Amino acid sequence: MDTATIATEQLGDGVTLVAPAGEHDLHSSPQLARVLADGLDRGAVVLDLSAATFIDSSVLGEIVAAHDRAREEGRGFEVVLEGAGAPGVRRVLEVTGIDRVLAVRADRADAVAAAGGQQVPEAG
Amino acid sequence: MTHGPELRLSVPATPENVAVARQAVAGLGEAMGMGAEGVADLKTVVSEAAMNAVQHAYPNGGTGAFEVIGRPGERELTVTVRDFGSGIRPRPQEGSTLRLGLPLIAAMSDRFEIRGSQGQGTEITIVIDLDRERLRAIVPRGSANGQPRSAVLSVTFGSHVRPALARVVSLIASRADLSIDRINDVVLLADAISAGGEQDFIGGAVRVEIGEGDDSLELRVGPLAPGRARGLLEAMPAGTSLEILADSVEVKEAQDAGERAETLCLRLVRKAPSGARGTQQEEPHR
Repeated sequence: MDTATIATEQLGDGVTLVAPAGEHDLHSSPQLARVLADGLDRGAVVLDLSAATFIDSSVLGEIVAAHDRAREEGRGFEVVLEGAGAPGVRRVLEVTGIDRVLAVRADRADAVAAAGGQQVPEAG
Repeated sequence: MTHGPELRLSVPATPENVAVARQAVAGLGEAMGMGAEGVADLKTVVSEAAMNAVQHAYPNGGTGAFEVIGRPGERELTVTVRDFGSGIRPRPQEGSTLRLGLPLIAAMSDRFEIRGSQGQGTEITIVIDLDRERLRAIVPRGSANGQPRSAVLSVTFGSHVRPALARVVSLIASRADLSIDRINDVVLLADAISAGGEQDFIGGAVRVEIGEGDDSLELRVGPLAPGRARGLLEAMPAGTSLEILADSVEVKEAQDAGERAETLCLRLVRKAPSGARGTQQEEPHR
């Protein structure tokens, strides 16, 4: 059973790394929303979905909301999926077209550099 | 209407039970031989349908249940998610929702249908085609209904009993804050229950009600044929027993359609952990 956790780490340059692990849905998406909002309050956010094994549309909604806020406020917001990712996670990003709305990076270090170095995030 | 193996789950329509629905059906798909991608799609469509029930069936603080029914057919798996709430109606845009639920269901299923009307509840039926061997046909009987305060899982006999039951009970045990060793105990209990035979259960299905108390988890197994509760207790492998794994074991007399029956009640008490606790790790960096 995948226990749902959300780890956060302050990386310097005002970048917060948010790394959900396990299965995330309606039950945990409010917590993810808070963590993303807290990170954006402090600066830029890198959301690493590599350890997430499931995300649903409520999680996608929070990701897009954070992305929109970051763009409006000129803050960095990057999404990372290293390696293959869980089958459900990559597929949900692709099927909904979210991966075309926001660039999903394949390398965490690149994402951190992009989030920390950008005024207006236009990844890709 | 198919008359094959069937999984039925009835749970209160609360956010944490979306995962219970997802795991129960994933266990069924896995047992049917679906691959990782197929199970992932199945989890998505069931989650989105269950989320619809949780978010919209009982508005304004109302409470109620939703049901998930999984029916493996010859070449497909049919999953129905239904609630007994306010039904389909126009709704305002809410929160961060992108209204992606139905498009996701449409994209990841082969067919789906939504039925419902105001005050009549909503039923979403999803069909996923698969190539697989025919499962042995068993006519199911009995279902969970009413207003459950706990999860009720009913699975007709077959190889899918164990994965579905193990996934559901371990999820509920972990969210009930049972410690890891206790969760292992619950999974062993689920294994023991799954090992029961058709002669043990009335109605051709393994039926387990999982109740969450403040400090305990209770599994009520049955209706069992008279005398079979003791049989389940004795069928455990050497070195283990239901009586060792559970904090209390009780066999209760029950009635099923006027016939004498038994219910096996197993209770696991959450032992106060000395330090580490909780399943969420959110670092408050404020």
